[in-house]
Amino acid sequence: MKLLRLRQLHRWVALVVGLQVLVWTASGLMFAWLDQGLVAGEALAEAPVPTALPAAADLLEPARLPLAADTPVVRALELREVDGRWVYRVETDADVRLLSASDGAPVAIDAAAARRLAASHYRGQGRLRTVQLHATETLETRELGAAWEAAFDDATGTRLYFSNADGSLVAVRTDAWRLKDLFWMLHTMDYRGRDDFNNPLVMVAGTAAAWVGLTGVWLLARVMRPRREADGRATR
Amino acid sequence: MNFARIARLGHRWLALLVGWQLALWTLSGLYMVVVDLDFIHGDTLVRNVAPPVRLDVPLARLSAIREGRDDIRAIRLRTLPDRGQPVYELVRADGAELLDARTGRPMPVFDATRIRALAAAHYAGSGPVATVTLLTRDADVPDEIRGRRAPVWRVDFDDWTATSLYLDPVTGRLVTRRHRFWRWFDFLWSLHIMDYVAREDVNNPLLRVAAPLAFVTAAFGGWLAFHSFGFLQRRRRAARGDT
Repeated sequence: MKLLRLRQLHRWVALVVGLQVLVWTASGLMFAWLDQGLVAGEALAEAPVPTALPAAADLLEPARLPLAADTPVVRALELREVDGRWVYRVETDADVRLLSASDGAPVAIDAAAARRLAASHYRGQGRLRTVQLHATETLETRELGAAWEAAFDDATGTRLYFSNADGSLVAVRTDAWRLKDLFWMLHTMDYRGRDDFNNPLVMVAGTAAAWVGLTGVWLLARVMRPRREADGRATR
Repeated sequence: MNFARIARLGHRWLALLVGWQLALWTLSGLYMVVVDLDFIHGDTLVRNVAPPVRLDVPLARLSAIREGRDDIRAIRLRTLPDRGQPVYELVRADGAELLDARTGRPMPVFDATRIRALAAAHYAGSGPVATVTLLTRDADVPDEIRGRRAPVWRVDFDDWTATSLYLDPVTGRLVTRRHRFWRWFDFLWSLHIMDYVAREDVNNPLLRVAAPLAFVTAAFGGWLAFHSFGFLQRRRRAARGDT
């Protein structure tokens, strides 16, 4: 019988992708119940109120910045305050760097600067435990580039990340975020980077699951209908 | 009633309850998975997003720009993409201000003609500009750029993806871009997270109820699959000594 064959096929495909469907619903359940605000850690960090450029500040004109003639194309140039100092943030095709606004000398974000940035951005109740530089990407920084990690001893396991290039706050990570991220990996089926949901595995699984879902609805309609007309139990 | 029967009935009745949502989840999820995210973001629709900064032309002195402005929080040197014109964008306490970087004088307010030129310089597609509109009230700001306040310029292009570019009236910056496939994505996203209006709250009560129901449905289904393929019956029969 056609219906039986469809049901069998539904079962076989469901068997194959069933586990993943279970994982999708379980992770979806987690997203729904994990508080979005806690995951984003939005109450835990905030950029300090910017100060106005002091009238007395001695500024180098942009054209006089020590950018070598072979510097790659400059894409963005901004005069701003970072860690209490006025600097030029220079973004080129190759990198991002900070130059002192008064004399053009390179400004590096070192451990002491990272500690000050952590203190000025943190809004939680804990104390700063450690700062450390990650030169390459970690599970918590990914494509954000080299970053200073500032770990706090609060109940939410907060870590703030500051760009090593320009000192900006690039990420707030909490235990809620880590839990969400684990389920996000299971949801996207990107077991390495976690964020790429255009990967072939999830495409295949998604297609199969869509098929199972549609045939499921179809079977449901077929099974529920003849019950009233004939004795549906006979088909079991 | 054995557990298989409970699972079967549970799977069926729950599926009747959340079946449509499960179908919507899989179909909307499939769209998001199959269509490239960079394309959705409109990366292929725009160009000249960050034109090279002009350090090769004489610029107004910063001291002249700072004169009479004691609330400057940042100064950005940018290049407008349509004429390669250098501008100073000041971030001040009450918003942005744009100056001609060569003269140091405030830029004239962008009119529709200049906005059209800026949009065209950013646009990487092949359709003509259809309309250029200044949205002046928050109520006019469409949901597709929710979170933005008026005023904002909207430039619609007559192309197959119905591209819209949004530009800031003060800075002339490209605020964002939207197109047909983004709009579908956004609509399907609202179905996926069951937040049909704001489309951003994944903690909404509807989803918080539907998700566990779906999980239980899937769990029953999984058990049923396991059961109906006979792994258990065989083991049970073996345990009873049946043949």
